[in-house]
Amino acid sequence: MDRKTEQRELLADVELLYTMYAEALDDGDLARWPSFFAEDDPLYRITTRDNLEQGMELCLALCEGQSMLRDRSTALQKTVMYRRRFQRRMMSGIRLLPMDGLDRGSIKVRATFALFEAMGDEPSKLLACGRSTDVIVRQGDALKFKDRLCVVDSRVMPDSLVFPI
Amino acid sequence: MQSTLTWPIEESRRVPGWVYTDPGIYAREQERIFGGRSWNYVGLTAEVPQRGDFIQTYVGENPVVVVRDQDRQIRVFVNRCTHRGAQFCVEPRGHADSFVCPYHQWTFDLKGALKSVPFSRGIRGKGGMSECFDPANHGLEQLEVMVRNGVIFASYAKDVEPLEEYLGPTILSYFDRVCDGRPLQVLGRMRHRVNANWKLQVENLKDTTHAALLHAFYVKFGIWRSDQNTEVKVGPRGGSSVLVSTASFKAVAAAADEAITPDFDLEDKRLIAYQREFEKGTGAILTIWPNLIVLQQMNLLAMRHVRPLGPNACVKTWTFFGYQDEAPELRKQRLMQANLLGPAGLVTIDDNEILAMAQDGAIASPYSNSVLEAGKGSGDADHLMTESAVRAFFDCYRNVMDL
Repeated sequence: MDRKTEQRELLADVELLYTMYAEALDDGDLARWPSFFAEDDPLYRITTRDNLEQGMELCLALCEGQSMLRDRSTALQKTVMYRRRFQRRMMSGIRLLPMDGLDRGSIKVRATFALFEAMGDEPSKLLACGRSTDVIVRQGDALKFKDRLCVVDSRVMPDSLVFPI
Repeated sequence: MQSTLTWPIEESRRVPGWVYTDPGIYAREQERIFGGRSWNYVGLTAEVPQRGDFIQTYVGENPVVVVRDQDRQIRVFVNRCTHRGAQFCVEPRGHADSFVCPYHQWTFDLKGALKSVPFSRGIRGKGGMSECFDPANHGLEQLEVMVRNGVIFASYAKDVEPLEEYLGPTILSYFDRVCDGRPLQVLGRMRHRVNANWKLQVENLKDTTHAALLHAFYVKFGIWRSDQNTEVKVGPRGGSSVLVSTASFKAVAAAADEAITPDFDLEDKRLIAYQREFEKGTGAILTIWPNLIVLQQMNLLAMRHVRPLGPNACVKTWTFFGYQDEAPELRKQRLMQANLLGPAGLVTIDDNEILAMAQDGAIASPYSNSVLEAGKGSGDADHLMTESAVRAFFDCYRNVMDL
């Protein structure tokens, strides 16, 4: 297979990962959310463009390791009080980046996200829009997120961010 | 349907819904509360460390600029060009030698004085500013500034009492417990809209009773339980208060009446791994009239600024901080525990949601009253089954608002 075809196939596989990830979260399947991440020391962060530009470490959500992913997932299912909502994630602009400095087998990806949410009698509203810079690894036959960094564009979130991006 | 807004005869034991929804009341608040004899939190000196550093924020709804001038004094100006009213400062933060309004290039120095107006002497002998115009009269509108231990407050009133008197010795001691003079360091910000009136947000931190009933996460992990040692202290005007509690951190079965503790345990305890930093409690939440919540919970430290956005919403800006040169392990704990707070916070989401639900109730029934009959009076308490701090807030509110 020539390199161009190989890259196209890889991109197709990566896009499918984003599609399946978005689908699971849109369906509210929090229990499955950690399974999209690598077993071995995954990192998940949601921050704002504002914090990132200033080099500030504070995140809106920070999960280091599978256990913290599962803890956030379980806490949302069992302890947090929130009104029912329906979300729709649009992931697009998915692009493979040069892999400088990364382990062989790691894939660096940039994507954009838009998360819409419908609550009560209101139409769907944009809740968060931004970009992610992610590192994806192969785990057996599957692709998994090793490091997912979601950066929200706006300076003020219009409401709570209950479910992960 | 009533047409006059009269407070119920039960005084602060009732809060009418229109207080959270009426546009006339909201406008009066802007004038009397945020524009009156009050100290409004506007930032930390750590956010403007160098001469010429500035940040933008709000006093009530009014946009202001906080700047460190060339003599290292903190100044707070209204973000409004004195020519045609443009909001001249467009960056949320930055560094400047002067402020130039892009419309007509009116230039103000770091002290807010009007330094230059282009073509003030006319062009080729024609026009220019009239002889009635004296630039000395057209500097930026300035607020009074008070800085204590790295925390900046501003007031539209020239005669507001010093912060020490404003808070009284007890509340001041809780302020100094966290802001003790050590240099602070900002770790980052979280900003989100809460779809509730600003007062509902502030009152939430004066309401001791809900934490062990709404926040199942806190109850489950023994961070805030109804049986732990809790005190309420109210400041001299009633508007400021502190809720102090000492956690057991015991994940035990719920006491009767408490939130049902869910059947789960944390796989990774780093989320709430905690080291004791302060005397007098493991959590002390201070509310300073009118717009500030000083949060200390476990190793979480945050200034929570409340900006009203019409009667039905407010914007919360959480400025998380630590101390300069603190140990990396402690810094890391603060960042981990931050998972509980803010718009994606495993505890804060509960509050954001219930406040929106309370606001929806007020919008639908503005002539119905909230009932505040837990405990008695508007003073200190040594238990959490009381609404005394909320009643004290409304004592202060009714006094300032003439209601």
